[in-house]
Amino acid sequence: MRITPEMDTASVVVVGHFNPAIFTPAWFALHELLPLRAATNAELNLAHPEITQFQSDWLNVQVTRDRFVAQTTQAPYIRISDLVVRVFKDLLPHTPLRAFGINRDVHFCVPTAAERDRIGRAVAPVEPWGIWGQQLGAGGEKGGMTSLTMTQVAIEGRPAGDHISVTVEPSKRIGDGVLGVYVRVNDHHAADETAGNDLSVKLMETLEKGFDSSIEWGKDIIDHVMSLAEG
Amino acid sequence: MHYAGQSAAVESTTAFEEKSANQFDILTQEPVRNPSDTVSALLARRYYVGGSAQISSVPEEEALPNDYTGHTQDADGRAPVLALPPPPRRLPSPTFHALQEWEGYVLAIRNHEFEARLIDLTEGGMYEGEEATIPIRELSDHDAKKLQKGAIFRWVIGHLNTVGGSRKRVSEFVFRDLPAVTKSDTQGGEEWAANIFKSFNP
Repeated sequence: MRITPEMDTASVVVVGHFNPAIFTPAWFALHELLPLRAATNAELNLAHPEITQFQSDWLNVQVTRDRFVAQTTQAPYIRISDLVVRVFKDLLPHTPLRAFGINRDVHFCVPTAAERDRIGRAVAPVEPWGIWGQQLGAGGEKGGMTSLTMTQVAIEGRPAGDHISVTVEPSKRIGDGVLGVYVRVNDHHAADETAGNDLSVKLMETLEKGFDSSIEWGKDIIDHVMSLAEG
Repeated sequence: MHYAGQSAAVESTTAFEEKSANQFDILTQEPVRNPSDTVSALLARRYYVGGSAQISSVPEEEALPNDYTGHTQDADGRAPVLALPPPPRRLPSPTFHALQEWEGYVLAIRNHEFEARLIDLTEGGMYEGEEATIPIRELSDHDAKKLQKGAIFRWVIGHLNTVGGSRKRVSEFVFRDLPAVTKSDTQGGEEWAANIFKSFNP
């Protein structure tokens, strides 16, 4: 990426039916998914039949009855893919899964407000908004784009339920509301209903094979958004 | 691009108060004093309006679809569960952003170092183009235990943004924790081999 992000996270979100109470740091250590020391020092916020949430070393985990989220802010991101695949392919292969998403979330700063506004104006020009658009001002000081999502569906070579969404917003986390830009890429993979009884395993194989390229592709999209700040 | 979340002059007039800037997931916002209450709130899908004690249902348009696999910006990578009044700000996690990444496998192990063949992932490499001799002391204790001939690892050189705001250049080796090879995994290879065999014996 041409701008080093201030915050850079990758995550895998799996949708299905889970038993949150089992996903404790001790369980991950027992199955050698986490070093014992990392599990011992994990920050366990909640472990309950309805929800488990902890942070350990490079890994954040949150599990509810219908969602399993593994997230990291630290490269190499392949670790979350390896972890999720091991959990649902090796250890719990009979867990019913419906979909998963590979996500990249980046917050980056541009040097000036004008450059950030250039990104906003590029992806959401004010001209189509007519007279009201003119009132938004040239520099974004009177308003502008607050959130924009583009979604690709009917992706060639992929099941019908798959889609890729990219969202661009001003960052709420960095840049004092003036210089920060937030970009989110969600690569959604739905279960291929034609896969028969092995839906969950097939989903995990898709994750295993596609994680790196999805992360790389997301990086290219984010880099392109960064390029829009250049004149 | 415009961010109005911090300006009182543009206070939201929608039915429900916008989430505050830099809002984090409820589960990491503050110590959970009574987990049962938190979970009850989750199950009831309650929603606090305008910071007051008023409670109402989550509006339809704010409910995530059942198969949503993405994140919201202020969820800190964790699934948004429910919205509560603004919490005390929590420091973000350190970020390690890769500038250069290789995948490698171990060729040979000697007393204090090991030899590896590397694929440059940053350059989109598909084949091993480089070899390296790496001191074993570069590995963490956890990864050193996984060191064996043929083991696959990632080597990342990148920027570590600390919680305090400083930035350091860091090199890290991580041995991969790969799932067991299944019949389905080998099926593709078997098909490929069968096709090659067929091409020699038409």
